[in-house]
Amino acid sequence: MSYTIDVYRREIRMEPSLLRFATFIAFFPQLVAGPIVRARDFLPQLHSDHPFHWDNVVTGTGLVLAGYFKKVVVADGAALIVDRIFDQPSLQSSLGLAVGVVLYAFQIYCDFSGYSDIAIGLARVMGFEFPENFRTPYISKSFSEFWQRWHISLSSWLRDYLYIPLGGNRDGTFHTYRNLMITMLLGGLWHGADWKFVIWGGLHGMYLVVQRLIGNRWQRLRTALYIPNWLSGYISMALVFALTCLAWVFFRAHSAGEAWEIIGRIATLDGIDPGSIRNKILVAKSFFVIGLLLVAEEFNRLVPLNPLLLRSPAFCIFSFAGILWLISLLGNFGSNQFIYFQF
Amino acid sequence: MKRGITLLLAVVAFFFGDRIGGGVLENLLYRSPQRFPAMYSGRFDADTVVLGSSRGVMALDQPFAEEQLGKPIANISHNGMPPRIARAIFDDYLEHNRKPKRLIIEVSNVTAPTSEETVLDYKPFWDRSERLRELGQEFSPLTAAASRVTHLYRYNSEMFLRAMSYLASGNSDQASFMRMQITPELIQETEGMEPIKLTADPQEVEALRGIIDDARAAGVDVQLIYAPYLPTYAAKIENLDAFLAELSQCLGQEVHDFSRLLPDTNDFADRVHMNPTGARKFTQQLLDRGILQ
Repeated sequence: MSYTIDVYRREIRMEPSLLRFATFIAFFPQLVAGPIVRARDFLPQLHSDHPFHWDNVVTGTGLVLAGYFKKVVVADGAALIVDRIFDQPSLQSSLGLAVGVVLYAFQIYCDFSGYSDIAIGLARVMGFEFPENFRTPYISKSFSEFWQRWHISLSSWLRDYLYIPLGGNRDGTFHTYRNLMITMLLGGLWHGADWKFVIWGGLHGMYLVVQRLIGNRWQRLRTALYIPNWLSGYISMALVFALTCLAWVFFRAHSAGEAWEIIGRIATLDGIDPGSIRNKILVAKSFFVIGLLLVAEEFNRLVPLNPLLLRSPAFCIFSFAGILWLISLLGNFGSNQFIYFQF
Repeated sequence: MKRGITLLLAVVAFFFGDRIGGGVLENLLYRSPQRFPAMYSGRFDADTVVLGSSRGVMALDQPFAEEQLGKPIANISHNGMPPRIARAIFDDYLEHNRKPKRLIIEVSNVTAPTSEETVLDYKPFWDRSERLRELGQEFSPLTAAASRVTHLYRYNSEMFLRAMSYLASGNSDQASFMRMQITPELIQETEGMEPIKLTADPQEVEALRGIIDDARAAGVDVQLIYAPYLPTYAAKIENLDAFLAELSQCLGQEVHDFSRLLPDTNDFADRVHMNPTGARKFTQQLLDRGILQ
């Protein structure tokens, strides 16, 4: 769709070679679930040679392994608990349900970003560059930042082909809010014709609108209350994460009605004793691997890993072997499909 | 080319670390006081053995029963354990531990067919149990092959994590309870349930009969029990009496029916599991009826 629109807008030239066009459409790593690769980014790469480079193999393999870790260790491990909790919410305590929601937030993140990493890694092994699709979204301090870090290729697609053509923020405050709501509602509806997806999109639209409405008031309040910058950052991060989780309840529940019921049960705080959590061993394992993931992502943020992989053979050997050990020991090898295959 | 050698060395490092890690984890596993490492290390010395699924695990107030009897009990039940696995476990018990005098089997697991997922949970013990390994080979040849390639993968199971948590705490899992009370919502949901019909899986009935035969052949007395259900749940089972009568007939031995023993919902953690209060009352019944002796 973006190719047709870009050609119509004369932003790119029509691709004259059917073979190159077919390669763009059917390029297997991203074919099923993204990242959404635009013609303007990919077609030019098909016009140049792609000689074999071991450097690409090393960094591409690193991404593929990281993607498998996210998928089979974190996402599928969390799925074991999340599925049980959402299939029988009435058996769970408030704390058990809250744990299920938090685990689902990491399940869907690791499931989808894991797939994206594998796709980007495979493309890189073959000498192609795909755009980054996730950038540690749960450390976002605002919802606009969240959407710059979550499924970047979809959010930028919605921005360029929906929000901006609707008028973006050019026609005053009311129209900006309207455009944000329409974009997010349609973004939700894109996942399926179900009220729960509409509510999920609507909630994110509302978060973005409210964030703009509050604007600088939060900054002024922070200054008035002498809240230090670092603490304010953590508070914002926790708030964004909590509200994102609230929206995920609608995304995961079997129906909008069930989602309201789950949120209601959590809000009653009926059963907040850790002893009331079922499958404690698997829950502990899931939080342990999420901890490992967060440490690795923070390390990658501070010390970019690709140059380190190329510079230090010892680091490369032990990090690759280490990921394989973790996958062997903690991976789940059932028949869990990628969540986004259904959309 | 140098990068290619680096990748090759990563594979070599993986297998080297895998073998060392596998050895360390095996050593840790058999130090755990959890029931199965204890069993495969021959640490049980009991006159009575209890076998079943989670309903077998939660059935007894074991400290109370041991205090009353003045001798230890070995509970080798496990969540979701179907009779085909239970048979392998019981035969392994006889092989590795002193022979008990009595085996008590909670038989409600006969309705759940053995699945790949349950079989694979026992893979940490494949190196000590030919029977469990054969089941693994039957249900998932791929997993059996993978566990030969990577030793760390053998310890990739909830069972292993469970064993490690007991090793860390230093406590045995012989006295397991669901320390919670059934919620009013779940009771209400149970009342609104459609009627249930119990069906025994023929392969599991066969395995249960096999356990009874193996026990008798070893000179072990066998008692079959059916643990209590939440009263509203028991009422939803339309063929409970007929099911138990047929099962008793198939097994050639009476199944002691305690399914409706406890009328008070406060004795339950959920529909099918008792909490400590219920387990104490049920244990007292087993003592009074001479099933526990």
